[in-house]
Amino acid sequence: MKLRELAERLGCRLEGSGDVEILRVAGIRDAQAGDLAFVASAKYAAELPGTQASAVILGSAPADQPDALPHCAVLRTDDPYSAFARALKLFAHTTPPAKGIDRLSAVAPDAAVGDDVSIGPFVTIGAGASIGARTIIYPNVVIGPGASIGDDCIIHSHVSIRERVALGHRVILHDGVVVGSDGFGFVRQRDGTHLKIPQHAAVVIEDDVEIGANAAIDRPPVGETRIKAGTKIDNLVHVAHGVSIGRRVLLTAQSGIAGSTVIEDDVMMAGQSGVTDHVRIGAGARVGAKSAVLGSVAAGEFVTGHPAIDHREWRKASVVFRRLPSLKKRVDEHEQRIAELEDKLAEPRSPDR
Amino acid sequence: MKLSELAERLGCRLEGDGDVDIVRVAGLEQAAPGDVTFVSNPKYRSRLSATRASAAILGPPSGDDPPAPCAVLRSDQPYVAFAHAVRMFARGAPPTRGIDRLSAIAPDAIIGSDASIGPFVTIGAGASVGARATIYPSVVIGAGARIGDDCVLHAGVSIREGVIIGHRVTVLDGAVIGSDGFGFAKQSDGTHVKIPQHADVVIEDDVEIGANTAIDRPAVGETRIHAGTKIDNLVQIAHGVSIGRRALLAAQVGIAGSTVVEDDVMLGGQVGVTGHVRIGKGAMASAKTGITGNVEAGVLVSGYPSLPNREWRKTQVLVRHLPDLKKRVAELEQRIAELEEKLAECRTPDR
Repeated sequence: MKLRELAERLGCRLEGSGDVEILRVAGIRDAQAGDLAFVASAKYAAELPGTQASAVILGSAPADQPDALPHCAVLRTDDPYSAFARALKLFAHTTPPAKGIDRLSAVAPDAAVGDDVSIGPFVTIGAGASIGARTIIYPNVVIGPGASIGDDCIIHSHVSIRERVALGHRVILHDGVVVGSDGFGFVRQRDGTHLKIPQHAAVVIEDDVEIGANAAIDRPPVGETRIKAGTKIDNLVHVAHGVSIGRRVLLTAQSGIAGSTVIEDDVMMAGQSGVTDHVRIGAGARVGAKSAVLGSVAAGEFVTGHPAIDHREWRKASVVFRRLPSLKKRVDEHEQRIAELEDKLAEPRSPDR
Repeated sequence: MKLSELAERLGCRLEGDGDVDIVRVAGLEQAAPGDVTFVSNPKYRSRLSATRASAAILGPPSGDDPPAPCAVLRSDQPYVAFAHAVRMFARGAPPTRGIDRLSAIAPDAIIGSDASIGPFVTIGAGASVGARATIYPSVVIGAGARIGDDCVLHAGVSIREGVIIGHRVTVLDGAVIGSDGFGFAKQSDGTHVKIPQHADVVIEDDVEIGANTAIDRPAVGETRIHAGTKIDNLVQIAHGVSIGRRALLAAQVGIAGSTVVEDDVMLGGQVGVTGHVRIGKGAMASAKTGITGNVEAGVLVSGYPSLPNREWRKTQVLVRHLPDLKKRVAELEQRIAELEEKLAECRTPDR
């Protein structure tokens, strides 16, 4: 694609020759001639002079970026990261799997399958389930009876969607995701054994949700587990029964949410963080990596640590944390000096008294 | 079902109109007329007054309870009664019995009576599946593995060769039992040579294993989960670990190799336990605890590294005060220096 055409399709202002042919999108460091690279963070601006790329997507002249690059063309935009994402989509050369239902699949006779779906080998679709138009289901996926899947979804291999789970449109589930597994609910009996509380209630995944590989979303005994529109969940995340996750939330890998907790819209949780059960994380709140949130968090707050406290407070405390050994040594020395002072004071005063 | 009948079947004492028809079990907030709800945690008793449910399962009355706006089913164990009620109203038929023609079952595998084997299930040579077991689609059972009676293996589960599973075991979707333990020997050139992991894995009766959980097999000895233990999603049990009876492991727990977890232990979500240690009977760890050594029976531990909960709470209060503490130490230093100086001055003239 000519750079001129690319600039137009990405809505960027072209600086330099529009005749150069662009073949690929690449990182700023490993870009070659024919590649389009990008710099969205000031951290990488230093790489610009050395790049071999034919063109670079840049922000609208931030202070720390050169105005012009002699050796390559520039595509200017207010939002270089989004332009990069769109460019990647233009050059993506993944071929979608063939349309149709593979003859080695097991689709219940009364399942409703939409137009132009792709259902791979060894896929099981249970009685009364429905699959929306243009949805792609990769091999070895199991969809339980009565589950409903919207249009334009992509369900990668080995996913299990349990009975009566409802998925909206444009949902992406990565390999090995489980949606609707039994919540971890047991009652301790007098003899110490645990009686299972059947977990049969609803699980709803709304439109445009993406869920990472091997993540598990549990179903509750009553009520529902719900993930609202536009939320993105990373690999190996655990969402317990009865949890409600708001719109546009980001949950990074290996984070975990315990039962009945409410995560409001636009919350961001970093990797390996966890939230206890029956609490509320307010809209737009952020949780630092590996934090343990043991209570509710107000909207817009940023908490970190175990237990999670205000992020600034935690940073101040963690600066001191590494000095604790020296702090302890200083306290020991003070004790010693105070003891010496006390000894001196207790000594009989000089003979002039 | 009439409420009076439900009361009888749950063994609850009925307070109110027994003629009302109950169609569903629901949570306090979502409950509508026709629903039975429940309150087992006294913390939530106050929310009862707003419910629209037709009936509520409650524990023994206490003095400061608000009056219930609906009929009441009294029980000494309201949570147990709730569990039974949910079971009574559960929807969903079990899969049909029999062996799906799209499964691949070794000719010498033994399948018990009334088992249900779904499509794309693979059962290896010499494996056995007990009576009334339900094997959902795409499950793979390795050669020589033994699955007991009334087990339920959900979709995509992998049971590796030679693994032994007792009766009434439930394994949720995507769990892997008997995968190779993480064992490598570092060579003098820095590479890691694999230590073959071929020893036993035993899952005893009435165990439940959560979705995408992995239970590894050891090189020698065995990995064993004793009867009645319940394990949540995304848990990692390393090679050679032994988990006692009736233990509860919440989601994302990780237990490193050869550790022993005794009976009735409870580990909160994301707890990690190091290798080759022992967690004593009935011990508990709160969520995200990092256990780096043995834990005595019955103790509740928290934090990283783990401490007895009471100690940990004190240290956690202090974390916020650390910057202030540092300042105070600096001030003390200053004051001591001043005192030392003054003392030196006092003494000088008479020398």
